[in-house]
Amino acid sequence: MPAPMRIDGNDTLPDQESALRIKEAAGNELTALRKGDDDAQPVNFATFKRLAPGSRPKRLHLALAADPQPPNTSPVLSSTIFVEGEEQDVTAYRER
Amino acid sequence: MKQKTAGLSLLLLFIVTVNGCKTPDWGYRKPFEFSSQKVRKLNYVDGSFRRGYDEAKAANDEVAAKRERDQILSELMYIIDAAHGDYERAMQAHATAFEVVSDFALLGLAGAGATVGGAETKAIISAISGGVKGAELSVNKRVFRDKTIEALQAQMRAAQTRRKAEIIRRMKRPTADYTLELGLSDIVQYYYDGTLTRALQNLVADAKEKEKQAEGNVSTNLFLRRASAVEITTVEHLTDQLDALVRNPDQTTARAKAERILKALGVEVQPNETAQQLYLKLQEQIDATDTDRSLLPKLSKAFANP
Repeated sequence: MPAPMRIDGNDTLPDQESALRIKEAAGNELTALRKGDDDAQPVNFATFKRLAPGSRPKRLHLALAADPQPPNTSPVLSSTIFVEGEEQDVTAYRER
Repeated sequence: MKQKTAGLSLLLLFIVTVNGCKTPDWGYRKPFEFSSQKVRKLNYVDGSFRRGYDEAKAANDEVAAKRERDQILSELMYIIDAAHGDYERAMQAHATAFEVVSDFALLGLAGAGATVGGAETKAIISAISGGVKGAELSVNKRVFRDKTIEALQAQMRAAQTRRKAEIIRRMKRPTADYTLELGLSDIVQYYYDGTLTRALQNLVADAKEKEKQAEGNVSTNLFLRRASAVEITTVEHLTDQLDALVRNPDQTTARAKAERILKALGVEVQPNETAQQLYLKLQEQIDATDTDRSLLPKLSKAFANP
C-alpha cells in the first residue's frame, strides 16, 4: 500500500487541487484523501496508486460538498479535509 | 584535595539518600504564581464571566462578542495549563506503579494486548493485564524502565496540544458558528485530555491508528506542494511522451530512446534491462518532480534531445 503524502491544510482548495493534479499527471491516481489528526498544524493526507508507465488519469476537480458538481464529471470520493485551516466537506470529481 | 573529594562524596550520598531513585525536581522561581486567581481577568466561580459575551450577543455586537468569547476560552486554557503543570509535578513525585495498574484495571484493558497495537503497546497492555491479575507486577520496570509517568505525560501533552490548536482554529469563526457554549464544551475536552484516564484511552486508540498507517509511513513526511498550470501541463506532456514510447510498435527503437533519456538524466542502465524496466525508471524520474520541481527542465530537455 503506497504511503500517504501530506498537503498543507492552510492552502486554498484550488491550490490543493493543483498539488493532487501534478501527482496524477506523473502517472498516479488518487485513491484516498483525509484530514490529518496527529499534527498541531492543519494537514491533509492523500494516497495514490501507481498506474502503468505512460498512463495518467483524467483530470481531477476538487469542490466543496455544498458546491455544484462540475459538468461532465463523476464523483470519485468525498471527505472532510482542512481547507485554509478550516475543516470542510469536499468531493473529488473526475472528468468522464 | 582529599577533603574536598570526601565532602563532595558526602553531599552526593546525601542527595541520593534523600531522593532515592527518583529524578530530583530542582525547580526554579516562577515569575508569578501561575494558579493565583489574582492574575485572572474573569471570575469563573459564578456565571459573571460570560456577562460581557451575553450582553454583546444581545446587542448584536459581533466584534465584542467574539472578543469576549476568545478572552474566556484563552484564559480557561491558561488556567488549565497552570493547574496541569502542578498536576504533572505531583504525579512525578507521588505516582506508583500500583496506581497506574489500577487505572488500567478500571479501564478494563486486561486481555486487550492480543487485539491492538504495535509491539510497544502490546507489551504495555500485556504487562498491565498480567499486573492486574498478579497485583505485584511493576509496570514501570517491565515496560517503561521507570518512565511510565513520563510516557503518559507525553501522551497528555500531545492530546492537549492538538486540542489547543483546534480551539485556536475555531476561534477564527464567528460566534454564530462557534458559540461560547461550544467553546466551553471544547474546554471541557481540553481539561480531560490532560487526565490520566484520557491519556490511557488515547494510548490504546493511537496504537490502533498507528498500526493502520504503519506500512510505508516513512514517506508521510513528503509534502505535495501546489503547482502552477504550466508545471502540471509539463508533467502531463512528459507522461504522454513516455506513453508514446510504451505504445511504439518498434520497441527496439523505443527502448534505445528510453535508454538515452535515462543516461542523459544520469540514471544507470544495465544492458540486460527490459524496455518495461526502463519505462518504469522513466516514470519514477517523472514522479520525482512532485516534490522537486527543479527536475522539470532537465527532464523536458532529456525527452526532447535524448
